[in-house]
Amino acid sequence: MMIELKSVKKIFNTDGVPFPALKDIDLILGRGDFAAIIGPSGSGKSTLLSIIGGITNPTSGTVIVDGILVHNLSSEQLSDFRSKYIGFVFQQFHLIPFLSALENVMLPLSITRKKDNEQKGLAMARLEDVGLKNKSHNLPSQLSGGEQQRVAIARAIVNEPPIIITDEPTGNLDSVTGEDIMNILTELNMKGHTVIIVTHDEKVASVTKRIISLNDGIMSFK
Amino acid sequence: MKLHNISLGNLKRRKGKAFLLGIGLTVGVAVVVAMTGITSKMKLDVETKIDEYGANIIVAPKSEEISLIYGGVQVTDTSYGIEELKDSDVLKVWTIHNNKNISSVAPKTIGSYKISDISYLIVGVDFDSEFLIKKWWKWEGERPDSEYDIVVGSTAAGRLKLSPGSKISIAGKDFVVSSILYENASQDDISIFMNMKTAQQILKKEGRVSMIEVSALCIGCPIEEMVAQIGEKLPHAKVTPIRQAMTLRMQTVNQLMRFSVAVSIVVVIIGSLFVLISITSSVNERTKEIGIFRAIGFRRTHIITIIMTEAFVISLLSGIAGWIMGSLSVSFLALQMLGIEGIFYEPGMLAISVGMTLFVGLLSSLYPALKAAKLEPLEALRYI
Repeated sequence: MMIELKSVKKIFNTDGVPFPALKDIDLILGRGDFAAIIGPSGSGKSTLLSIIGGITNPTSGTVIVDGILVHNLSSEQLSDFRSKYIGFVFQQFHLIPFLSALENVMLPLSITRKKDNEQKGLAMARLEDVGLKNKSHNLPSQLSGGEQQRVAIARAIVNEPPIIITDEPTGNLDSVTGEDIMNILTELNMKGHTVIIVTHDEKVASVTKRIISLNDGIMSFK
Repeated sequence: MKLHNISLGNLKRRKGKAFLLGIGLTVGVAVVVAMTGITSKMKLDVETKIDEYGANIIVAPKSEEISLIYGGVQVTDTSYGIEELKDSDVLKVWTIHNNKNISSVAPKTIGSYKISDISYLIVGVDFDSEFLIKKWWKWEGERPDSEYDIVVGSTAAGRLKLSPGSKISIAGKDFVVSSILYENASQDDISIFMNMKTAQQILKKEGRVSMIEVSALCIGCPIEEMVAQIGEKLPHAKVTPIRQAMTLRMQTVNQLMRFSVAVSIVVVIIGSLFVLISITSSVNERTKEIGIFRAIGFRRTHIITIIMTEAFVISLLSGIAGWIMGSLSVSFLALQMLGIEGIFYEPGMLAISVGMTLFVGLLSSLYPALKAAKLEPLEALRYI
């Protein structure tokens, strides 16, 4: 077992008004799982993703990842957890605009003790994995949407995290490019990464091995 | 890739904002350097002029007799009922407690002597200390270097038809005029300055001193205490400080220095606020970026390091640039206001400028840096 959520609730307080984003979520994902969390807008998908990814803690319930009680971690401990266990890929890529593709991929390594040469080597290898070795010096503005997303994937995996979490990875891409991205994610899953995708696109979800449905903060399985 | 690469990359990307922030700090530092530099130049100028003004303290015998007057000192023809000063009294002046504040001690033996039926002041001096104390003297000729060289005032030289190199006989002794003083509208104009021992012989005042002029080194020296100390050493003498003429000017300079300090403090406060607002605005613009950093595992300390490194780089460069700009301003102002030429170059001021700018820059950036670090990734990513 890799990821276990038990009775997880998340309530947001907006101007004093409580809003329950997640209601009693129970979820188990194994090592090497390839799951899609699907649901309409406002269903709590991104919130669930952020709890699994250690970006935020649940209001109640437990989150255990690889034996670590994530829900008990402090803010700085969560940072370390994310650095070691989680690779994020966002819908809008979120590359740092003033860093080249190579430097963006090296970003997670900048807070490790790895030397510059080692960082460069690892980053170039990941760029090669996603087919962008020859664009390592390009700025994000000089890359297409698909290329930017591939750089984002390379950045997410450069630290060899066991879990890759993506939020609408093909949301801003055309269907052909989106298919390329899904192929890369599938390959990563085949290499042993646990891949969790949040999407509203049934077609994207169909590529995965498990589909988890979320509606008004309540989970169901397909 | 290290965190400072991120900081430098951000500064390169936001060149305009970094430049504006830098310019603001640079001008602030330049103002402080310029004000500090020009007021210290003015202070030095006043102190120099005080030196040029001559003695701060006059030591004279207590006397009621009226005769020829030199420097406000009564020159008497008789020694009846007066305890005159002696050669040994000159050395006693150097033994006071505050002797380190003494720049020069210039004894004089003064008397009148008739040459061609006209009385002139014969002033026996120690030429080395006399030239030291009388910095305003301008002369034609050479400085005296032998026992029978004399320096003659302009009026006396005119009447006696003397020029540098002329020979003159006084009291049966032959003298050579080494230099003629330019007119300075004082009793120097009618005086003949000669070696003290020679003057004492001519005036029949062997071993006796008419007055002692004492020059203290600086404005800050305790004149009143020194007057009291000399008075203790020479109880038979009248010891008088001469400061009144420069006191007002020094008060003005001191007021200017206080004003300069006040302006500097205001500039530092404004500079701090400027940095605080600029960095806070920059942090607000980078909420999404900070969210990404936090999402991929950056700790709060990493975020603080990135922002403080940016502040450090800007502050360091501004401190150096401000020092250069301020120094050039001082050089220009010193020439225009005081007629002092030359480049103002104070390496110590560079260390102070950079230190002060770093202090202001880093301290003012601390709040926005902490605020940025406290951003939770989820909150920051909501800006996406």
